[in-house]
Amino acid sequence: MSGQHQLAGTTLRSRMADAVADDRLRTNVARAVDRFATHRREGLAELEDPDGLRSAARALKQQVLADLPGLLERFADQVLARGGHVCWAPTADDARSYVVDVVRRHGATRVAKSKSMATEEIDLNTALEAAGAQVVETDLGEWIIQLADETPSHIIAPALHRDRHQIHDLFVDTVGAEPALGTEPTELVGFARGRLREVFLAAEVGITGANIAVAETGSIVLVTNEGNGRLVTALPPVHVVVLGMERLAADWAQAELLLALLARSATGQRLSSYTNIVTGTRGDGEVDGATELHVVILDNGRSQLLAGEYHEMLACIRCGACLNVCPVYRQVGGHAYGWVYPGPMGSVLTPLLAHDQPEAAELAGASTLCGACMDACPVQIPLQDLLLSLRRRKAEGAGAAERAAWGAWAAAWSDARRYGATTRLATWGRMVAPLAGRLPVGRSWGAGRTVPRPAARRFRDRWREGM
Amino acid sequence: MITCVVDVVAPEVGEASVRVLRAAGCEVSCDLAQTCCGQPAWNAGFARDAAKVARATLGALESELDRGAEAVVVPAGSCATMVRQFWPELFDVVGDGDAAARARRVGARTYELSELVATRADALPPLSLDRPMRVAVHQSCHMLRELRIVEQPASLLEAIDGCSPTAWDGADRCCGFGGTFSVKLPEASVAMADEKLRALAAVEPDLVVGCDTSCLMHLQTRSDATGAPIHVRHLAEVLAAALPAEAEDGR
Amino acid sequence: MTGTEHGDRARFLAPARELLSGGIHPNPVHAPPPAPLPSDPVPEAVYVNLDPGDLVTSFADAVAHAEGVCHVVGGDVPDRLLDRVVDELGERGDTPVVVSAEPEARAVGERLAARGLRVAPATPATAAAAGLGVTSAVAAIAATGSVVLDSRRAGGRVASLLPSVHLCVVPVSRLYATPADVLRRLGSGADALPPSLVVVTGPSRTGDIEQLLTLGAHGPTALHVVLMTDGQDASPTSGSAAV
Repeated sequence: MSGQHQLAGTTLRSRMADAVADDRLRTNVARAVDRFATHRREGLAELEDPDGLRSAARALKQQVLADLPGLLERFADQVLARGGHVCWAPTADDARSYVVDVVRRHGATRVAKSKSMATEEIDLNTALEAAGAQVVETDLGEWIIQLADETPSHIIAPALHRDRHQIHDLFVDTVGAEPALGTEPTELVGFARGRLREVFLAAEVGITGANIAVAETGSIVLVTNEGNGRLVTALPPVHVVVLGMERLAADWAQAELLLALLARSATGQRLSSYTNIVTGTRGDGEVDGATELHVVILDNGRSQLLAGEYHEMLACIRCGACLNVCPVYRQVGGHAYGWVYPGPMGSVLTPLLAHDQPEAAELAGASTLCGACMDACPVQIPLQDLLLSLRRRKAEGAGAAERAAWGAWAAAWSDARRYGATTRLATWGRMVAPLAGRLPVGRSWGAGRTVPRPAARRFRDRWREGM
Repeated sequence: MITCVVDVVAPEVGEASVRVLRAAGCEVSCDLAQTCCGQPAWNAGFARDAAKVARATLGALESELDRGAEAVVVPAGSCATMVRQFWPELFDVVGDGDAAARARRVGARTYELSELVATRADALPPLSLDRPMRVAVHQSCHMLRELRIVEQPASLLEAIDGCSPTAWDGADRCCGFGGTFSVKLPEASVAMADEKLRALAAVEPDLVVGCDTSCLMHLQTRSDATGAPIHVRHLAEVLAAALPAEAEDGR
Repeated sequence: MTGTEHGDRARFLAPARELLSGGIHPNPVHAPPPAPLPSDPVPEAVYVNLDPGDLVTSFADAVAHAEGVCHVVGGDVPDRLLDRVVDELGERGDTPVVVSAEPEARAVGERLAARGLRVAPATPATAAAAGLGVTSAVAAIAATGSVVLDSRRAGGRVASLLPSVHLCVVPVSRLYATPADVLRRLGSGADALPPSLVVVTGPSRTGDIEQLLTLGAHGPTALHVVLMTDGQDASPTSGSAAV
């Protein structure tokens, strides 16, 4: 990861406006999400009673969250018993400092990373680079955006906003690929394979996230298709895991159900190519594997969400299904959301986790509340309800003008007579409709749409006259 | 329940709804103490304001039920959703448990128009259009995903002689209206409408039919502005137009 | 040897404990399902593509679905298959073969060496230069077409990871029906989990270029699974039982 998230200093509207003006971006995004969404439907169709499984997954996540402190202790004890080190990191800074310290202690300058949204969230790469380490992202999509100095635009497919020609040109411009390199995916992937193989073999520290941490055995589950998650944990002598504290399963029964839903929800696969279960360090008689394991358990605002209105957001397994069905995301892609997490889940997480940035609050409005995300979520997070909660929270801090407008509306429309008067005025004022273009609301509507006119006789007028 | 949009902007939808309900053998009443369901403010996060307005409508609908009405029929999917799904939470959030309980009672008797008419489809007289029409059904989001009203609009249309619903890409995708979304994020809103319009242009329907005036208005006003106008009709209007002349109630 | 703990776990967990002690605010509109009883098992997925009466065919189909190649053979790995390996590796130059520490893999390695190939035990150095890695597996999973690799049994990870072709030979006695059959036992077994247990489902792949499936991102480009049954070559046995 590189690049800067655009949250600060821009508005949601401006970012979205820029995105919809970019036809190439819209084409790339639509193609990607359509494929994902289709595959997801096909994948789930192979399960009997997928909704029953989703409901069970929601219930088990509720259990995990209710028992989270005890499960985290159990998980940590198991990791320690297997020789792994545990760092409890209440803040992003705690996590960064610890990882930088590990890297420094080993005098490591070459770090290979497997994709981790949690490390994006805490901007770990910047801290590592400042400490003199060269960090290379090994997930192909993450490598592409790293080279492009961009931020990820999707949590599963970080570079989906780029097509093959853009990727080809990027390789030529940044890592010395021959211009004669073809634009066929196989050639581009082959090029990346060769370059990144060298990175894996030379890396001194490997950093991953974790899809699931299983408390029962102190195991980390890494789900990848490319194999970079395996290479990053097989070759470098030091393995660092950055784990969001909520990403637990109590036991293997729970973990297995989540795994049954995760790949299908993300890409439609029955299982991804590699479900890598890491427990402790290299065993005697093994020729590879890390000899030193560090698990950094990250809070960074998550614990504050427990037990309250936003509790269920902690169930998210980062599959991306909600992004793939979101009609808004489809038009704008991930960068418009301005931060690490885009789409519906990002619209909820950004105001919650990036709450110290005032621009984060408006993310709750980045939705038409169509509900497609809730239907897609494998753990049935009530995203729409969470967005409405966030909007209520935001409304508490609304400006005087907005509060006055809704207040006036409520005063008028809470009584039939006043409602009748104001809507009659609107009826009388239908001559004024062309002037509505001068008001901000009217301008927003009217830029691109004609303005509807109120009817001369409302329904209630006609009803009174006899219908 | 008329809904404020139908009352003020599209009263013909209300009239058509009344005709259709009567043709299906229903006695229709309308308590004009109602105003609006409060959804615009609720969606914007202004729950107190929404509750103030919703209470007025709650009172009106309650009175209807007290007077013997068996059902509250709403010619708008999102408003029906507000009443049935969200009113209890709205009143709970503002701490009015009494209204929440009353809302649950009303909500249990509240139906979106096509949902109710479909249960009485047998009571309708034979329906036919003057000329054959291909119609594209836009399934609005709340109705589809909250109330789970999936087949009723299309099946009611299919029963009309001369009317053929036609499949189209993204029929169940959000049109981009989303209440205040349409004016707070207008570029994205318009882009979403454009995608729907492109999909409609690919099938060239005679009519675009839906159960939510807001969605239809959003698509219509965008298509008018781009110079490639579509023709929208609320489901009630299509059904009403398909009624035989003598089936209209002559009251 | 136990690891070390950094940071104060009580301090870290205190906010969570405090918030949870006040009870959990349920979502009013889309309410969560009732909490399962402690005695309620977590439900298992039922796979439409799985024929419980014919795990071998289900497995072979699932391997192919995941872009792998499955060879169902009666008895041991047949000579014709090894001859094919020799031919294909020959076409790609004199690339060596690495084998894991598993006896089934070593046995295949010996037979390949007898055919003139350079065969070596897998290490990061040997595997990085090899064109083929041979391993066995501790389990195969019919519903998903997966093979499960255990680093303790295999003596490492790289044999199945660095060479561009991975050949996995596994006896049908280790064929299980579903991932649940394998994964749900992991905590309860007497043996501690190995340092690395990988459920491999097809070769390495990426969709990062226009969401088009491309094999061989960082791991093997091809996965060949040889399922050794008791019956005739390529004929499915019925009711393969899990041990």
